[in-house]
Amino acid sequence: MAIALVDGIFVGTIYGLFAVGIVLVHNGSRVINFAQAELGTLAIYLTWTFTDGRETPRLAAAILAILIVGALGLVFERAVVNPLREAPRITVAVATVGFSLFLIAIELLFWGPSPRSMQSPFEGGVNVLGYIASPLDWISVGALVLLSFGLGAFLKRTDFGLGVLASAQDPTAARLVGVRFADVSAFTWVLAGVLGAVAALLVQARNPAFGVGFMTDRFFVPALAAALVGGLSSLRGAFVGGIVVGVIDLTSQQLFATSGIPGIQVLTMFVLILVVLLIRPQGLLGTREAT
Amino acid sequence: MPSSHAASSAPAATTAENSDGDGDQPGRHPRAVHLDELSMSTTFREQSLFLVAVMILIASIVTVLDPPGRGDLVGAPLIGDAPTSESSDAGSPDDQASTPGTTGSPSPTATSTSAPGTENPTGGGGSETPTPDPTNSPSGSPPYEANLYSGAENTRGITDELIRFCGHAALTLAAAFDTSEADLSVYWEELSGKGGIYGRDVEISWEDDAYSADTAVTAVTACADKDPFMILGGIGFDQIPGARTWAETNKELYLHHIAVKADNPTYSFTLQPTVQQYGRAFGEYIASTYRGQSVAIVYRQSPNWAPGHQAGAEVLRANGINPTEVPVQQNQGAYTVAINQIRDHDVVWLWENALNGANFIQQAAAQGVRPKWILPPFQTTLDLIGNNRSLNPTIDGVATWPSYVPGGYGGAWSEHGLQAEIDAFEAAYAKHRPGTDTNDILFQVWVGNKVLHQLLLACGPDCTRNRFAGMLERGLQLRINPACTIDTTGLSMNGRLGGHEFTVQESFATGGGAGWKTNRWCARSLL
Repeated sequence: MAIALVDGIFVGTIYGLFAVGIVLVHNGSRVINFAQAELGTLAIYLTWTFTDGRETPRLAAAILAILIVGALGLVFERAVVNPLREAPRITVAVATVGFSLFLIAIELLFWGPSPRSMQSPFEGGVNVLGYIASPLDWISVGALVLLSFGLGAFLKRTDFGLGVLASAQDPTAARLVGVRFADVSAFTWVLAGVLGAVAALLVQARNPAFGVGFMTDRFFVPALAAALVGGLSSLRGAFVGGIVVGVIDLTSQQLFATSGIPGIQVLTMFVLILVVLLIRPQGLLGTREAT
Repeated sequence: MPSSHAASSAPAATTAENSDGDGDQPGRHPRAVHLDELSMSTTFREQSLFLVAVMILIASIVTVLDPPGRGDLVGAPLIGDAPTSESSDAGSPDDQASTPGTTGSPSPTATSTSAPGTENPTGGGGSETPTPDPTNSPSGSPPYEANLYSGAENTRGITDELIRFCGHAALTLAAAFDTSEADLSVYWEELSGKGGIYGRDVEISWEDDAYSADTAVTAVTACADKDPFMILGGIGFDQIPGARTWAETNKELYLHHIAVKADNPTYSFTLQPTVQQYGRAFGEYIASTYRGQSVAIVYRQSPNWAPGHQAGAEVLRANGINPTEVPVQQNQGAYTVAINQIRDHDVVWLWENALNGANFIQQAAAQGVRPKWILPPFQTTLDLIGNNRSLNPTIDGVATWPSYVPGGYGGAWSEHGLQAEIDAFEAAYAKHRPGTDTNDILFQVWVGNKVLHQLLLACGPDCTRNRFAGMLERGLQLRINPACTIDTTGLSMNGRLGGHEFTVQESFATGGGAGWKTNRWCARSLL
């Protein structure tokens, strides 16, 4: 069980990184970004393209991929989200589903459906209660802590950040007080793309073989669970939610390993989400919206 | 100024400043945003419940897109292992084009006089129950015909000039290594230039089943719309059962790859073993080769996979080995718990698809777990895990097909025509698809096409759908190099199960990388 706990924390940081992106977009555009994880898959493919058979340093390739995916988030925001700013949020949510499918189609078109492989740049690790934590596991933890706290401070203590939060609550009122919704929306989508790319590249090291739709298949549901559990209005909640979901995920695997129930992992996620929504719908660290 | 107005009328604490939920004191800003007086429309609970519903929807969509196994390459050969014809060792369409008599003729053996085994064939859709006729001698008598179709339906998809097939497969295979759907038809292009089958060309088209059970049914439906002689089902434990059910319901002749055993099929045939048989073969191999060592089974928890793992586990237990059985879920991102359960085992049978299996092996290696892996042998798996983990230690594979590496094995298994077939295969691709990198998938498709070719020859110049089905139903034994024997004489699954043999393969160093080589050829039992 100790190994499940330890790896649950490390896996939870990845869930948390994806969840921070989901929360950010929700704060900026009041919509769940169903393409959050697939943006990460695209970043992996781009990094693979820049390094496969070439002398390009992995870090440089990864940075370039992150920037491209961030730019792609901006393109989507400009082309789809911004024109739909007055539309019902469900419309935009469906658009993000379409965006996810679009990314999958791009991956199929340019790289084909055959799985690819990109080995981890690190070998070995530190033994933590029986789990060998690789350097990338530690980087994931650090990245999540820095991002959640840093981003939280930026949003609370800067004019622009407050504008982002205000737009999340009421775009009309925020515009009335001078907040440019277009700038806020663009910022959140660029950052969401960057976060998705970072999370995917960090977790890819433990899953060297990847294919089309890889991140969506494996990480979107847990990431969304983390965002809902932590609270869609709270970045620190996304961090906490990620850890909670990661620990529950791995420990449920341990506890129900012999249950014979197919899909027990996803089932656990859904049960967790339903429990949180029924008992504390704003999430662990979120706040209730005023009525 | 809007901000001053807002500041003068709002209470001190602001929703926006506290929205991070941590209760911090608001920072000082020249323009504080006060939002308490703003009205909200929909409650958060309702929104969230709606989001859960949408999440379920997207999960369903993802399941369609990523299938039970993207990269699920279990069972590569298209329609099964080809039996060896005594005179077909040359291995190329050249030898088969115009002299059908040179192939091993279908010969209902003495076993055809036996009762249809324990399975009673049942008629479908009101037609009479087809039963083997024990009095029908193979020589000097009309060939046996199944009673499946009448009139024009019996000759659908076959004319004096053409035989039409349609197959469903994950076109991921066709697209592997930058090949295309058209690359799957090279065998028939080669044959077409040499007279075809009794003067007939063969046309095969493909519908993408996207490795999904649902999409497989759509693909089969699309195939049926083309009025083919027969529908072919390739690749995928999860796709075939649904497609097979559809074919049975719609009375479509269906020749498919490895799948769980069917109950009383009428229109569906397979030249491959069942999933249960395949799993049993793994159990037999491990029991005979690694007796005395600790064994674990990591298996996909799925109704289309489980029968294989269960059959193999039963064999192990019957041979005094009590394996540790570790279930994993489809597309599970973290295998740490499962890896910890297999940590102290010497041998691990990995019953998963190529992509997930590769990640499992990689994650296990990162945790210092490096047992002897036993799994379905695909080149993709070795390519994904890299040379080091493919060869240190070597990996064992159990398959129903022979191995392939570019250039062959320097004459190994020549008695089974392996090198000759590889040479013919590579020559054909060099001729028809110059620049294409040949691989194990394309080779298995080539061998499968050769099997189909031989069966069509055995069916005769007046082949019909009833005659083709009857040929298998009544009991057929046929060997075509380099594949394993087709044998429906046991009349399993109403004479619709023709695969019973397995090869054993091992990873080895070749051409700067790792590949598979066959260590044991076409054995019914690996004990």
